[in-house]
Amino acid sequence: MLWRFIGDMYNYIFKKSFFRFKRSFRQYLTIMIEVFIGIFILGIFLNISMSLHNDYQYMLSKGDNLKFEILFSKVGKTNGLNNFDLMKWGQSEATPFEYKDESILPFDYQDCITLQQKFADDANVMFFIRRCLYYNDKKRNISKSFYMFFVSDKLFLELYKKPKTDYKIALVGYDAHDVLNKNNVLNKRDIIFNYSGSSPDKLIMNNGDKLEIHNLSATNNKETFNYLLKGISIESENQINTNSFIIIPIKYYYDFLHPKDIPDTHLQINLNNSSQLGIKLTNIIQYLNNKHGNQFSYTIDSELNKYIKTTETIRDNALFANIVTFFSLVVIIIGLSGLMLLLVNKRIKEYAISIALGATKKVIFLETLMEATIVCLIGGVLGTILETVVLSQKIICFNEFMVVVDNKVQFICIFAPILIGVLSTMFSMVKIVKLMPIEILKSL
Amino acid sequence: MISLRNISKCYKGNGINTIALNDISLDIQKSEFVSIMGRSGCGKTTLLNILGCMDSFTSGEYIFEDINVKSLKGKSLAQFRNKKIGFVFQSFNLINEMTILENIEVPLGYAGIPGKKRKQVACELLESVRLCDKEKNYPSQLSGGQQQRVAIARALANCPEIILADEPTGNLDKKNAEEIMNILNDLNELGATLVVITHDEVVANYAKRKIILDDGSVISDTLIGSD
Repeated sequence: MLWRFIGDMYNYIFKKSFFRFKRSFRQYLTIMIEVFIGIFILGIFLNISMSLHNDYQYMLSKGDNLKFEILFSKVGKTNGLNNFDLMKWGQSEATPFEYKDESILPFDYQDCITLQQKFADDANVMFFIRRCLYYNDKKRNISKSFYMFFVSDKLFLELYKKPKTDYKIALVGYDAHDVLNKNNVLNKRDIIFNYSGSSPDKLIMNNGDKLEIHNLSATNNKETFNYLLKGISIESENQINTNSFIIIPIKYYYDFLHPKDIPDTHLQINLNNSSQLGIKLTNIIQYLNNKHGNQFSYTIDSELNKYIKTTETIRDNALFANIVTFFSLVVIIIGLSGLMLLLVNKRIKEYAISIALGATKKVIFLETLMEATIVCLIGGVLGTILETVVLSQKIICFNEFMVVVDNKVQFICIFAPILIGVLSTMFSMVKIVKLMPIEILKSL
Repeated sequence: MISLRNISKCYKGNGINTIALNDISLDIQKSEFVSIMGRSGCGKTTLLNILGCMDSFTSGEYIFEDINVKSLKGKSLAQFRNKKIGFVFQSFNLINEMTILENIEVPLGYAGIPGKKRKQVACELLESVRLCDKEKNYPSQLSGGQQQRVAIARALANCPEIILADEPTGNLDKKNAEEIMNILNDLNELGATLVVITHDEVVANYAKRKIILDDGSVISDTLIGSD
């Protein structure tokens, strides 16, 4: 009996709401349109936000293990040269100065240590000087290049884990060894040593030092190899392997190489973790500028710059989308609350009469809630459908990433109108439920 | 049937206390037809609202057929208003967005009467007030007298124990007023308990008992016909 009573009363409430909806269609249509537009905008921006968030996570994951270099492009006030473009100068034959001075290096081993500390676990920092040597064997019609690395003492020891520490050693790969035997086809400018085939094979440096040649692949530190291998550009990776290396101690750089070989110096950073990358790199550039007293201008290589820009743009766009999403939801709720307040105020007499005739305030609230929620749900579903259609046309994209429909977002767009309906009803009915019916009727 | 004991109602606002009812005690028996008269502001509407559970009272006791009305709250109070009391307002207070049939169905709906029965009862009530042919009309399409008849039909929907009418003829002309009072009189003769507020002596004379209020207190309580 009680169940039937509850059932019949709520059946009556539902019918009453339905008839009211039919008769006040225009008023409810306004609410429905507002919710429709609001949910459409909310859905679009929420999907954009979700897509951008996924894209940002993708970019961060892509950045892990990324390798890049700090480059320098200009020499500052050094020996009378102001803002001199080093790369252009290096391509010319002009040699305005020659000196053997470690200070001409735009990076040094101390930078490597300091920057490693700055990065902590996020990256590995390495400093080396790399020359690419070319040879052309016309007889056999072979052109080949291989790399000569001038590495720091510490790095040298890591590669060659044997007790000899007088740095009179060169580590040479097979292919390079083979070329050295035919060193008469090396580019003359690259020759800073002569090869002696007397056992053990030696490199006789131009200053007379004799470096005993040891087989590079005989060293057993593959990790450090890879370390150096990472120092080679991506295009060359397929052609170059450790058999093509010559590794000699860094001190020989100062003895032989020309200052215009400065571009061969590399400060390379291999990322483990790409978060906060832009900020970290800014700090690093600042450190280098301060350390080297504005002698050099530093830049980050263009690929990385592009990566950082893309990542930060995605992050900023995601933030913007989040803000728009939040405000569109707030605007919908406020706007709808206003409309519901008008509707409720218009029907306040009816509520008072209904209470006088035996309705509880809870029932009155439920009637209004049911109407608001159904209207909002219809508007919301229509808005969600339109938003799904628009996004499925794949016409919205950010930074070459297409915005796609996310199922979680669609669920939120369906659920949000119900929440909006409930909140707007609660806001508009709060005054009504506190009053006695006669107070309402008296005030009219 | 109804017993009021030391009922007082005080309004507090802007630091001023206004005493609307001052220590009123009275009894109303079943099938009585009571009129309440008094000058404007004497508290008669306040008394009627308290009887109809539309307003609360500051102190005193209100017993309705052994039920202490003050103890009723929320749902029980709403059910009490729905089942026990029929209220007729001076300004009819029909819901303009509903047809007159639907207006009569409102208290039936809140009583949980199923749809078919609801409609049947509403039609019967409309017939009793001679407005069957206008069931699909809206209140704005009816005259004042017709609207008041609909209001009376609505008040009778759940066969209440008592019908309270606040100046039922206040907005009507003489002819319609007479018609309304005849309907109420007929109801009383069928056994309904009626309490009517009025300024009009003619209307008051329909009642069997006249209570006169002044400044929130009962100054006269007489049976008509015993004067």
